[in-house]
Amino acid sequence: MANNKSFWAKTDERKVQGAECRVREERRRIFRQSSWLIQVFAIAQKDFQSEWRTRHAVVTTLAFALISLTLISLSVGSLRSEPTLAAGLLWVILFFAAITALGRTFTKEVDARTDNLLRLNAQPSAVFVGKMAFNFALLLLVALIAIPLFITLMGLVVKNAMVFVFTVAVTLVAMAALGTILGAMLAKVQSRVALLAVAAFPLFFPALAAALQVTASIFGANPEVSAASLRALCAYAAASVLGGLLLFEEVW
Amino acid sequence: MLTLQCVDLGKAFGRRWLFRRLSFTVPQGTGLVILGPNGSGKTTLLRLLCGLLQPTEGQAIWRCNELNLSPVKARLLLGAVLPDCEPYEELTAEENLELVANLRGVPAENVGEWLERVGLANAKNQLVREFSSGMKLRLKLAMALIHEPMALLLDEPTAMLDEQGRQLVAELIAEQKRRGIVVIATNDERDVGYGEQQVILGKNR
Repeated sequence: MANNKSFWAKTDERKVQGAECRVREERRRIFRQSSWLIQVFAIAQKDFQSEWRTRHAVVTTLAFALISLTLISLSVGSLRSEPTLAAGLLWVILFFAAITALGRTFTKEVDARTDNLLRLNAQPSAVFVGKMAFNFALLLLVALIAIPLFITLMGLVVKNAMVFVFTVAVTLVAMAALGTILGAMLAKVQSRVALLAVAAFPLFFPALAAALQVTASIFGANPEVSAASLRALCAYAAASVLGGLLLFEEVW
Repeated sequence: MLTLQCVDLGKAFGRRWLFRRLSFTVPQGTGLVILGPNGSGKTTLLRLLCGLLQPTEGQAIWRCNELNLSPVKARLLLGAVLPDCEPYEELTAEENLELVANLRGVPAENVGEWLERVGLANAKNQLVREFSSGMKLRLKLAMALIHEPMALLLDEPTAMLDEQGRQLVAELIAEQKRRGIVVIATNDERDVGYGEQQVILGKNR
C-alpha cells in the first residue's frame, strides 16, 4: 500500500514537473529575446552600416579636427614646442571634435523617428553599450588621423608612446560613455549641440584634466609620468561606463 | 493566454486631457479597434499600451500566463506599427529586418520568409529611402511581426496600401488573432471590421 502511494505520488510529481517544464518552455518562446551581447553587436553594426552609407559623422568630425589643428599649428609659432600648451591644444581639438560626433548619435535617431524601434526591441543597456562602442570607434578614428598629424605639425616628441596611446584610449572611452548618455538625455531638446558642449565640459573635465597632465609629461613637461593622474583617469573612465550603464534606462 | 486590461486610463498633455477614465479588457483572440477623429488620442493610446508614454492616471496591464506585466515589461510580447517607429532609411529592407531579427532572437532564415510574405522580396537590397510609403508600411509590418508577437499594435495599418496590401493586412490580422491580440487605431471605416471590440475616443471633447 505504501509502495502504491509512493508510486502515485511520484507520478503526480512527474506530471507537475512536466507541466512546469512546459510552462517554462512556453515562457521562453513567448518572451524570446536575443542575448545582451548579440543586441549590443546588432546595434553597433547598424550604426557602422548607417555611417558607412552616409559618412556624415566621420566627415564633419574629421573636417573639424583637421581644420582646427592646421589653424592652431600655423598660429602658435615659436610656442609650438611648449609641452603643456601642446597637450592643452590637443585635448581642446579632441574635445570639440568629440562634441561634434557624439551629439549626432541619438539626435539622428530622434530626427529619423527610429528611436522607438530600439526602445521596443532592445534592452536599454544594450542600446547604451552599442552606441558607446560606435562612438568610441568614431573618436578613435579621428584620434588616429588627427594625433599623428598634430605631433608632426607641432614638431613634438612623444617620450613614452605606450603610455600616450593608453592615455588617449582611456580618455576616449570616458568621452564616449559620457557623450552617449548626454546625447540620449539631450536628443529631444532644442539647440542640443550647444547644450551638449555646455553640459559635457563639467563632466569631461576630470578626464580631460588627468589626460592633460599625463600628455604634457609625455610631450616633455615632466620626465616622470604622473601615476596618480593615470590611475584617476582609469577610475573616471570606469565610473563613466558603469554610471552610464546604470543611468541609461532612466534617461532612455 | 494573453489579456489586455486598461483601468481608468487617462492621458493629459499639460492641462488638456486627450481621454479620461478609459476602461476595457481585451481577451486572447480578439481585435480591438480604436476610433476617433484626428487628435483624439488614438496613437497616444497605442503608445501607452507599449510603454512609450506613461499614463497621467489609471493603468494598462498585460496579463500573460498569470503574470501581470506593465507595458514596458510587456514589450517582449508586443509588435507595433507606429508612425514614430520608422525603419532606418539608409539601410536596405533586408538589413532593417535583420536588425530586428538579431535584437529579437529570431533565426536569420525568417528574414527572407517575411520579405516574401509582405511582397518585398524583389526590393530587399533597395535602400528604404527609395521606398514608397506603401512599401515602407509593408516593411514596418514585417518588422513588427517577425518575432511572432502575442500582441500587435497597429496605427492606420491600411492608410497607404493598395487593394493587395489591404488583403495582406487582413490576413496578418486574422493570423495574429489566432496567436493573441490585435489593437488597431484607425480613421478608416473599412478597418472597423477587424475588431470585435471598439473604443471610441473624442466623444466628450
